[in-house]
Parts: sequence; structure tokens; C-alpha cells
Amino acid sequence: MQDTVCCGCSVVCDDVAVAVKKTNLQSLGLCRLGHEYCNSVFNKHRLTTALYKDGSGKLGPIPTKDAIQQAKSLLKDNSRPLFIGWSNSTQEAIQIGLQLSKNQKGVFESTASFEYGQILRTKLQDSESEQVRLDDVRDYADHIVYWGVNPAESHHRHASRFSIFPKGKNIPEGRESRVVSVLDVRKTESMGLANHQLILSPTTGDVEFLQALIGELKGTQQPLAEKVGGVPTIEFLSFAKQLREAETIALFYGNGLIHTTHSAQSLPLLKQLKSTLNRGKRRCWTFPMVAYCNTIGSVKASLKSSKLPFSVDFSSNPPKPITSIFKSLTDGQFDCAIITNWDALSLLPGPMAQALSKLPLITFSTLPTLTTKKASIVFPTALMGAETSGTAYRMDGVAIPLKPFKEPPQGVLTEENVLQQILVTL
Amino acid sequence: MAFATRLALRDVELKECTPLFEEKQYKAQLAELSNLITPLLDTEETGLKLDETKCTGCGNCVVVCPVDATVEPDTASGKAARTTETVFRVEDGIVKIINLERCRRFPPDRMNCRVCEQGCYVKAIEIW
Repeated sequence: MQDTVCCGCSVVCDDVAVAVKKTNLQSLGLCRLGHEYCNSVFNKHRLTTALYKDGSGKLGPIPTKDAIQQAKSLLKDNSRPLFIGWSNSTQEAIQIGLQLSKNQKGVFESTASFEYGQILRTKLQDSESEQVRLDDVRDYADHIVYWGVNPAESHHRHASRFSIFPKGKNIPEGRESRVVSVLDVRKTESMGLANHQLILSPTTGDVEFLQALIGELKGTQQPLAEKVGGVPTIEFLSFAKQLREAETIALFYGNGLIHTTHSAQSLPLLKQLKSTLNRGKRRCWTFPMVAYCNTIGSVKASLKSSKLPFSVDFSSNPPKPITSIFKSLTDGQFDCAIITNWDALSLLPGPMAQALSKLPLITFSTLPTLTTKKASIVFPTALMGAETSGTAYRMDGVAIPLKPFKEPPQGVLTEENVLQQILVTL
Repeated sequence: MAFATRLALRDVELKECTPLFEEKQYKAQLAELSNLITPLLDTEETGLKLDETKCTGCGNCVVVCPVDATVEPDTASGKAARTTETVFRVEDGIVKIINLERCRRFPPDRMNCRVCEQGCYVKAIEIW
């Protein structure tokens, strides 16, 4: 068994080990999601040669160096390229991607824009002064809150490694030393582990609940109705009381809170809740539960390069943000796109996917996807973490050096390597 | 009551209660008792039942198990079990019981410990 780092989700587990067998992988400590991710190095459908769509419109294999030349020609012939994806790429590949975007005066866009948008920008700017890590949550957080996220399905080892169960410096008894609250619009698996199981009304429950909670904590709350945001008042008051009594609160929030029709109201309220809780000796830390393994890294790299978190238009100097990637794509502002390790055509909203599919696409992927099927040039890539070295940033912004356990198949290069060669030839 | 307790602890088997089988008046009780103890027969000596098809490999059971914390202390602070000493270990994405005899529920101690069951998100671990 050899140590490795899993890039299956944003928890980026670095305490796991694998043994490579002839046709499969044996693992220790990887969750089901992580094991399947790492085991995909043996996927029988894996892409192992570069593909190019010729005049007949069919994708056929070509040598990688020829594909690099074709990519170069495509980028040279087009003046407005879009570089999109990046959350499943190593930090080193992202940096080259940013350089390439800059040189080609294109637009750099990462999945962070669709996932957590401006929150990540604020979060990363906050965290420069805050520097809170998941290890601090394990060591000090005596009240864990999951809001609009179900780690039992999305981040399997989050609770056992950092939040609910582990013992820490000030958490001598692990689970017994913590209060756990889960807020969602339905009964989730994670709720089964919680002291406070709060089911909010799916319409505007979170806004009502947040407003009432801030009022209750400040002592300015008006008399309450029978329910607060769909939660019985007695449960609401009990939750507020335990928040007030906590020393360190770690609040993890997900799509259930931010991807709603009223997020414009709920997100400022969440920020207000955080500052209300951060009083006296009590601390409150908030973490967005990003999905992909290097979403945070893509935002960090982009901020460093352009002072913008994503949606960076390098056609002007200094670079400026594009107002809406949705509008830019559907208005036909781009003439080609590079998509890195992201099945954009399957995951983007219909009109965006449709607009993207009409462009000449250069894609990087380990497996065939809808996006590779529609692409003009496909580069097969080494699986991040399993076959590539480099760095990924965990959801709390901690840099984790990757430990590859296998060489990529013959002829398959890393994304970083291919991007570097394109950059050099251009 | 003593016999029922020993039956639940699997110290005795139902067939050892001969009147149940020999006297017709206990037919209904025999059927009911058989139903009650059927799930127990599928469990290990500890009464612990693991459904691997439900397991997501989250490792909650590894971290909460007091035996694991003793034999591999890093597990208590959230690390994956990596030795062969623990009760639970996540292998190939699914938890395995690799040292059942170390479980605190194992005879003769039979402590009423249920932390692994309580920590399981998906009810893959059940204790009968």
C-alpha cells in the first residue's frame, strides 16, 4: 500500500492508501466516492489517444503532437477564446491556463462561478485575515451546523474527519463534546446524527428563519408565531439558545442555502448572522461546501493573477470581469473554447450548453463525455491526484500536495504538460 | 425471563426450550418467538449486522469506535484506519469488520455499546 491523496471531492483526503493491482485498485480509507474516482484509472472506456474532428465531422485518433498543433491553429485563428472548467485541474495547470488566457486575450472562467459565485471571493478575502482551517473545526468547534447541505451524500468523510465525530484539542469526547444542527428542506441522512433537526419551509423558510434568529440573538425579536420558517418555535428557540451558549460555531452551507430564488436576501443575512455570533469570546466560522476538489485553488490562482475570482476578461488591461457568462455565451461572444476536465455540456443550463456546443471545442478529459463527443480536439489526460503530482486546495483553502500512485497510460500526458506545450508553441 | 435473556444473548438456542416444541398449546408462541429471533441469526456474535450495500465508506464507525481509538489512536482524531488492529476498517470504499472479537459487544463481556450504529448515516450498521 502506498500513501496517496484523493481528488474525488473538496475534502481532498490525504490520509489514505492504495495498492495498484493488474486491473483494479485496492484502497484503505477512501470512501465509496473516492474509491470509484481513483479506480477510474482502470476504466475500460478511458481515453488514451488524442482525437481530432476532421472535415468529415468524425472524431478520429491523431498523435498528441499533431493535436497540439491543431489546437495552436484553432487558437490562432480565433480572437475571442473562452477557457472554462479548472476546478478539477491542478494548481500548476490552472496557472498555465491563466497565462494562456492572458496571452490569447481570452476569458478565464471556472466552475466556481456557477457553484458559489461571489461568496468564494468574499470568503477567500476574509480568510486572508481569518485563516481558519478544517483542523481548527476539529479542535475547537463545539457547535457544528450544516445548512442546505447533506455531507452524507456529497462529502462522505467530512463529518468523520473534521466536523462531527473526531476528538480535538478542546473537544475531548468527539461527538459527545459537540452540538450538531442540520437545517434543510427535507429529512436528510445527515439529520439523523443531529441534536437539532430543523426542516425549513422550501419557499422562503431560510430567510424567515435567519431574520428571526438574528433578532433572537440580538434580543430584538418580536413575538414569534407558532412556526419560524416552517420550524416549530420551541425548536427554533432551543437552537438559538445552544448557539448562544457555544464557544466556537462552525457553519457549513451548501447549494440548499445559496442556490435559491431568494439567495439575494439569505446570503447577506447569513453574513449578518456570522457577525452577530462573533461577539465576545464566541467565534463563528463559515465554510461553503464546494463540490470539486480544486474549486478554491482556481479562485485563488485567478485572484492572484488578475485580482478577480473568475469570469476574467483578459482582452483589456487591467483585466475586467465579464458581467454574465450566461449572457456572453448565449449572445455568441466567443469563437472557440478550451474546456478542462469538466463535462460542461452535460452540466450547464440548456441555452449555455447549446451555445457552447456550436463553438469549436478543445477539451481535456480522462473519460468520454458528452463534451468530448462534441469537441473538435480531445486531449486524453492523466487522472488528477492518481496520476499527476501538483497541488490542490482543500475546501478551507489549505494546499495539499498530491501523491500520484500510478503512471498514466502510455501516450497520455498531464493537463499541465499539454497546456504548457500549447503555450510554448503559441 | 432468564431463558429469554440468554436466548437474546445467543447463549442458548430456541430448541433447548423443549415444551415449546413438544406441547401443542405453545404453537403460537413458538411461531412468534421464531419470528423474533430470525434477525438475530443473521448477526455476528455481537448482534452487529453490517449491510455493505448501504455503506458509503464515510468512516464514522471507525472514528467513533472506542476500541479503534485504543489500538490506533489517530482514528479518534478522524484519520482513516490503516493497521490490521482495529475493529472497523474502510477497504475499497466500504467498511469491513476485520476484528470482530475485539468489539466491546463480543462475548463474554457483551457491553451494551452502540456507538457505531448511532454514528452511521445510512443505517448500514444495525445492532440486534
